[in-house]
Amino acid sequence: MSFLGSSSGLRQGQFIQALLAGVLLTLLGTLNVNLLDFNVSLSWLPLLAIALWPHGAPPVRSVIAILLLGLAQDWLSMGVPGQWGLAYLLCILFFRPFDRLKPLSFMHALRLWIGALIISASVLTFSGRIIYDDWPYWAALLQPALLATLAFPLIWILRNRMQSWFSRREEAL
Amino acid sequence: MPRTSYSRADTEHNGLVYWVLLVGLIICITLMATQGREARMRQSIQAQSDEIISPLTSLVSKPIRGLENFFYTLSDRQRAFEENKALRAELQRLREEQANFAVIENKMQRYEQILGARPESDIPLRKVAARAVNDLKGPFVRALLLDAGRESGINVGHAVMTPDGLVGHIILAGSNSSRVLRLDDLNSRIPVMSERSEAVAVLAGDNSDFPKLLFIDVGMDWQVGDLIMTSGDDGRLPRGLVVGHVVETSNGELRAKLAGLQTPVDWVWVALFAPIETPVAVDMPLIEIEEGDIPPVETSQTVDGTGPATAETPPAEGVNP
Repeated sequence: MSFLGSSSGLRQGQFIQALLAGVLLTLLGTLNVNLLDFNVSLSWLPLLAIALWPHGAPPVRSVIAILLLGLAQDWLSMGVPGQWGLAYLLCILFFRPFDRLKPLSFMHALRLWIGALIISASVLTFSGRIIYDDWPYWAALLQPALLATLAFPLIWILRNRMQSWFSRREEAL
Repeated sequence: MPRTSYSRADTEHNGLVYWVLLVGLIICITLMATQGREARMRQSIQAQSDEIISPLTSLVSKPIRGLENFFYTLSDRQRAFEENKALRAELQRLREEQANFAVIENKMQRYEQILGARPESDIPLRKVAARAVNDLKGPFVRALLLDAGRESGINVGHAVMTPDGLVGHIILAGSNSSRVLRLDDLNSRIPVMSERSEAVAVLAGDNSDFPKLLFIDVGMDWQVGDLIMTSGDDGRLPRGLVVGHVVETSNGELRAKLAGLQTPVDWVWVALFAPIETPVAVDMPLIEIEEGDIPPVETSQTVDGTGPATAETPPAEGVNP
């Protein structure tokens, strides 16, 4: 199903779905889980919403929403404002979801996710090196990334369910 | 990624997108350049966002905390029998120590009376309980979010403790939430001492689980296993709060195993300690003194002990100065 020629209602639905996912995952991203003597942050979950941003969503509004989501995550995680925002925008610049012709397949989405991980890890590492004059604590950088990767299939299924729901709703209207 | 999935022809509506992207990137870089590591701690907007996020996080974290408690209950039950035996032995030992402490306390009080020393302890008696609704462990930031703030008497600088030891101190206080800088955060620096030898050092967080002990002089007596306590030298934290134990890394570096951060932080108490205020320079008018106003200065007794000698009195002959 291509969204480039789809109705504005459907595009709006895609945008709302992506934004909702972004907000929910940003809220979840402020938490950490203590299980079996491991304390792992969920801070990389919102990046899933960015990597899987639907191609049907209005582009300008998407970029503004992604910028605001990034800044919100920076404030909520007490990081330096702009770090996550920069990582998200660079992901969008590289992946160009608004130029994509087809919906994502699972393997394509997985490749995008790995790309997003590399871009974000590089941005956080090098910007952090400049700001804090120190390298990051690698375990705290990589453990949440690994946890988000494990959550990827689940988020992928939920995202597709939400998209189907929005599509059916649009067709019914 | 397969480039065939992308359209290069459809740039008509995307020209504006790239401009918006460019503006967004400039905003982010400007924010990063201007809102550095120190600035973020002074931001009122950070306190405002904490006020909003604190109840939300508390709500969202409830099922996660429930799951954690379930796992802890399971593992606790598994080791309950061994723990019970160990606790009985510890109780017996502590009863004996308590009797000793009562004698020592009595002795201390008498010494304090004799010396006229300030009798109260540095460790504050007033404490406020709060729940850590969020425990951030990012690659550069380690902080807690508490669900209590200025309305409960909490203010910037107050020490945050668990029953096991110090966790950090308050860096931002909103009306109903506050942000704690953990001891292992990159920005944390607190003066500490060894309980055994009273050797001092600075405990510096580096976002690892074992913060460094810095500024240890060669002659200072630090040993692996020493109990680390706050020295109170900075006047910001009270003296005598338990921090952890000294451990040695494989390259011989001394680090601290933090007592308060060995288990997940849930409930904490905030010690309401008033830090020593920085002395303020007072503008005092200079007093002009004329020569005749200065009284003769008494220096020592005269040799024969008949009376005090003045500065103008020449020393007696044959007497060594």
